[in-house]
Amino acid sequence: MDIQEIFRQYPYFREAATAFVVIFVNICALVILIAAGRERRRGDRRWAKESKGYMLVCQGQTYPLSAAEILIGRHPSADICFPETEISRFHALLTFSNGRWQIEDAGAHNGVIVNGRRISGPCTLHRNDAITIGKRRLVVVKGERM
Amino acid sequence: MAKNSTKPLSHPLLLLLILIAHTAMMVLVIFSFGINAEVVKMAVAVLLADVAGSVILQIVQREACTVDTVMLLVIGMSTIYQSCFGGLSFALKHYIFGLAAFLMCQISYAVTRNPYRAERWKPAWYVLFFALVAAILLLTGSRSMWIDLGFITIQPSEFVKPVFVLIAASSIRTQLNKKTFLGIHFVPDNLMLILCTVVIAGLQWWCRDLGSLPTFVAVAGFGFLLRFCYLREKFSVRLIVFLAGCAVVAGVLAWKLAPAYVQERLHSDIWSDMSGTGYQQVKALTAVAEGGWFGKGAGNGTLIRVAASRTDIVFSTICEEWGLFTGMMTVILVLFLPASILTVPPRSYYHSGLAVGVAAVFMVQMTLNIFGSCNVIPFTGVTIPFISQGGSSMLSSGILAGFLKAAQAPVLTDPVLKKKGGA
Repeated sequence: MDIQEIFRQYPYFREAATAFVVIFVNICALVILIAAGRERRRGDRRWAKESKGYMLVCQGQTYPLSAAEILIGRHPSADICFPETEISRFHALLTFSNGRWQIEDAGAHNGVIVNGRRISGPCTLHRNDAITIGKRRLVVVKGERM
Repeated sequence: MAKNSTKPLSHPLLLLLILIAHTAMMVLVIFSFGINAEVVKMAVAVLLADVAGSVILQIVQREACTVDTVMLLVIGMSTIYQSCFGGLSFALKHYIFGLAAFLMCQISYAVTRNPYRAERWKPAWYVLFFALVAAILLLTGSRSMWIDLGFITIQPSEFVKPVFVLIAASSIRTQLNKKTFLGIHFVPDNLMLILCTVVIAGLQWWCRDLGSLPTFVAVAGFGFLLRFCYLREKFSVRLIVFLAGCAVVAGVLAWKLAPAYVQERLHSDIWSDMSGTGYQQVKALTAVAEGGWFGKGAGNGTLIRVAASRTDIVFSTICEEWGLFTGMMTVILVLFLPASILTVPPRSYYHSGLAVGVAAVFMVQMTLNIFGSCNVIPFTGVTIPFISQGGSSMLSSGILAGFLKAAQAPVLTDPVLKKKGGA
């Protein structure tokens, strides 16, 4: 008997075949999701390696540098937010490019001080550098490898 | 253990799964049509594309494989759908545009994977945007969105979408670059986005093609939301309420001031005019109901006789022939593309903007298409990315998918700093 004839005579056979396709494609999607999850972990490792695993420490609190642009300021939308009034709403901008971290003044009234010197342009950051913003002192440290 | 869990799933395994998924679909096609030349052509073409795409990616680039894998899976599925609608005939044109979309994805990935460079090229995106707008105004027919070259028709408004997404994305550095004019502080980048939004909205109004307007408005809206709030989930509640209020006012104004034909669609009852304005939606809804959970079988549908069955109401056509389960599965797979950004978050704000813009385009288009077909909202006539027939839409979707890939595997090298040799 022709397969098309079987399909016509037994519609349940076609429904079962369709269900199999749907289930299999969904399994395929699930595997892609697992692959995406693994890509995320690889991405995190790559970022940790590329960005030297730097993070900022201030008064015992750690701020991981998880993106290539980190805004420090008083504004609630800032990535690292400090409430003190001597800190401007958008105080300093940390950027990552070409394998190094840089900090620059984002138009702050009280300026940004790195290792005791007030910066006037982008300043490359190294391990154990101290950044002073208002009364806050942030230290660049190398975090544990993820 | 931890080290092993971060090993990538190999391309061969993913390829094998895609091949089995497509083969299983083609077995269903063979059950409906038997083995003939068209089936063989379609099978060879789809499976060859899977293998070739996977091998090329394995050689060229081993990162951000989620977007590529989903694209290969979806393009193959849509080629099978389009080849079977209303009878078997290999959809060669759709297949070629699918391959071209995959290629465009790789090109747009290469162009935008460096967020610093992509943002520095913004003046070029503005020029491209206004060139496309001028092309729509000057080269399309009166109040139309199509350019007819004789052998092919191009819809330049589809290509405006990726360019608009590039314009809507922004970085913190750009937002901090404020200018002052007559005592008013402003960010030039934001002014340009407002200008481009007004221009594209005006153009769509003029061309009487308001179907795509929600897509552009969504991209601009999310672009501004990111500008005001940045990311990091630290949204200002007052700002959100204010923006939501503005959106409601704009929505009410648009509702009241909409042209007569839009008003007619907004207020029409499709069931009282089944052979007139409600014809397509009535047929589309009936087709979904007739298809049931498992469909009538590939090629056994009747919706293909209705206009735009391969484009604007393609969801209903799939549901009729392949069933509601398959239709929903297809939608979920396409949504995997923008959702992939949740698994691998972007590292730069410009890439975040691009990813959010692409998600806005995909989500709004799919919502308008599927809900329009099902009479939840008025019929708008936009396409489902990668599934609907149409070369311009397919290529545009490929470019947008490339942005998602770029956000997942960025290159953080500032070309200006590199030239200067450091700070």
